[in-house]
Amino acid sequence: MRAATRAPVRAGSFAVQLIAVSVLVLPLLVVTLQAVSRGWFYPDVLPRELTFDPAGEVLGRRRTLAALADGLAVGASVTVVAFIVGWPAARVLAGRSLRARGLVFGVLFLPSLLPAVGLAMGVNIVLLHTPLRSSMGGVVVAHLVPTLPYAVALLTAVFVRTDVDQERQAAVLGASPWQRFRMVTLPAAAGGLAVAAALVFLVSWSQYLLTLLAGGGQVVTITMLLFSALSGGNPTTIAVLALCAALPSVGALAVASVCLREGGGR
Amino acid sequence: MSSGVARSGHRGGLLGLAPVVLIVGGLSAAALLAGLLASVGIQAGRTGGPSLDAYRAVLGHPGFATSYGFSVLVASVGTAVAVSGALLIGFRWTRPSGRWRTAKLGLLQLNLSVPHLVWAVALLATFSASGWVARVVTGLGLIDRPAQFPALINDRWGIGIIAHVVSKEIPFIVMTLLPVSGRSTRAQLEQATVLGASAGDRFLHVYLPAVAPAVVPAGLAVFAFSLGAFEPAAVLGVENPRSLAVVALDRFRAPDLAARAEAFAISTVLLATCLVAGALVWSLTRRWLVRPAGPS
Repeated sequence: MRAATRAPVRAGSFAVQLIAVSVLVLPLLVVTLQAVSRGWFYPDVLPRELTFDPAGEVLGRRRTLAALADGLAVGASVTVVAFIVGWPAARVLAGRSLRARGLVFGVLFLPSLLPAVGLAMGVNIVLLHTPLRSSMGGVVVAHLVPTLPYAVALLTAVFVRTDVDQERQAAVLGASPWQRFRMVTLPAAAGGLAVAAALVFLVSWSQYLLTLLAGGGQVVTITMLLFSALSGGNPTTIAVLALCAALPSVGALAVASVCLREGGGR
Repeated sequence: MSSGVARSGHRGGLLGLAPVVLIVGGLSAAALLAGLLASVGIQAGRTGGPSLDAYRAVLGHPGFATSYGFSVLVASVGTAVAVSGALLIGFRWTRPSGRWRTAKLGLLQLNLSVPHLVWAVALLATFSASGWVARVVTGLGLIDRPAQFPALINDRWGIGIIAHVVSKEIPFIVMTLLPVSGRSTRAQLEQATVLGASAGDRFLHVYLPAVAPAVVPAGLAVFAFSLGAFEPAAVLGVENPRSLAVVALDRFRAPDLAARAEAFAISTVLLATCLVAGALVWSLTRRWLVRPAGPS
């Protein structure tokens, strides 16, 4: 009786999982296939011709390369600044009570609970009154709003787990601050730091509205090229740009998960 | 001498925190304030005192009610489905790990790392009327032309945008749930099982209260995101009804300042909606969020 009622439940659960997995995987496969095909249109289920030529052509354009460079420069700068600013804050928070930490994280994550379009438009007019308007510096500052909270939270988690006593011992034994950092703090925290850096880069790289409005048209990233290609662009070009926009963040995530696995025990 | 190593004192603490709080809090507060001022007509290059003209123009527009209803409906349905789905996955995953757990987790993380615009483009290529699924259905002889395929994307009811929110935000919520549904929650669930609690009881009375402090803020973030998100609405939405986020950006990028004020009036309406939703959710879930003092 029990087995008889369970069999359909199991089949149903399997079906749900199958649908969920295909919804998550299928779109990425379709875009990938689209990027290496030419003239793949309705009603063809599979492309007639597989070729890297259109992908090479899109990647060879100066605009594409400039957009990739802009996105990488912004992402790298945001990561560096977020670490420099977030590091001392995380050190402080790691030593505070859970309650104090919660309060600060609450303030930091509050902007994430607001509609993004309003925030991006507001940032645009605030930056207009500063020397940072329509510049890469403005985009970097704007990206700190969504990225810094993650940087501080992840770095705090790293410092909560690291052993302050080891740093003290090193200090007592005469190690300079730089030596302590280089030989004690960094090796113990490396995995967690890599994860934090990868996630900050990923969040920065994925921004669209904030980059568009803070950059005032002067900073053009791959997502912007993708967006303009959407109106009337060729499907292969769109797919190639979509992959260009996805690969760096997927790569950053892969780095993060490898580091997490290696440093997982700590 | 060792003060550089020891966790800094009170003043040092404030000094370490100040830049972060100033940058994130200061810039977003300034952005909100500038937006609020602009919505009542106070912006650079524009003279005259505050006025509610922009609000009158926005709220009086014949399409506003439909657009607003559409945006709120899409955000509410998307958030409700995403939160429920994530809770079910999280609850299931409190049981001993199955063979495919790592692979499934990896898949969720992969989805999480794909930028929103890319994901919207991928959904479009797969589920639109001439997309891959429609081609398979045509190949099977079920339809003859794209127009016969049900409108899942660029549809009047926002199914495409909802699908985007659900597929992109379930991974996000699951990731925020996993760290809080750790060993102690699993132990409590086991105790409940031993005491004869049904799966429904365990979910409602043990799992839900345990993960509420994580899932409530995550759900609010998802609601705010889907209400104010531009990319999915622009790629997967329709011209009528248009999502308010798309209307706002459109007005913002129009050359005249009056249109700009309207953009900020729309954004203020969206912000107010988020605040109301937040207050509502808070009042409904506060019994789980505010724990009585003492050891838990």
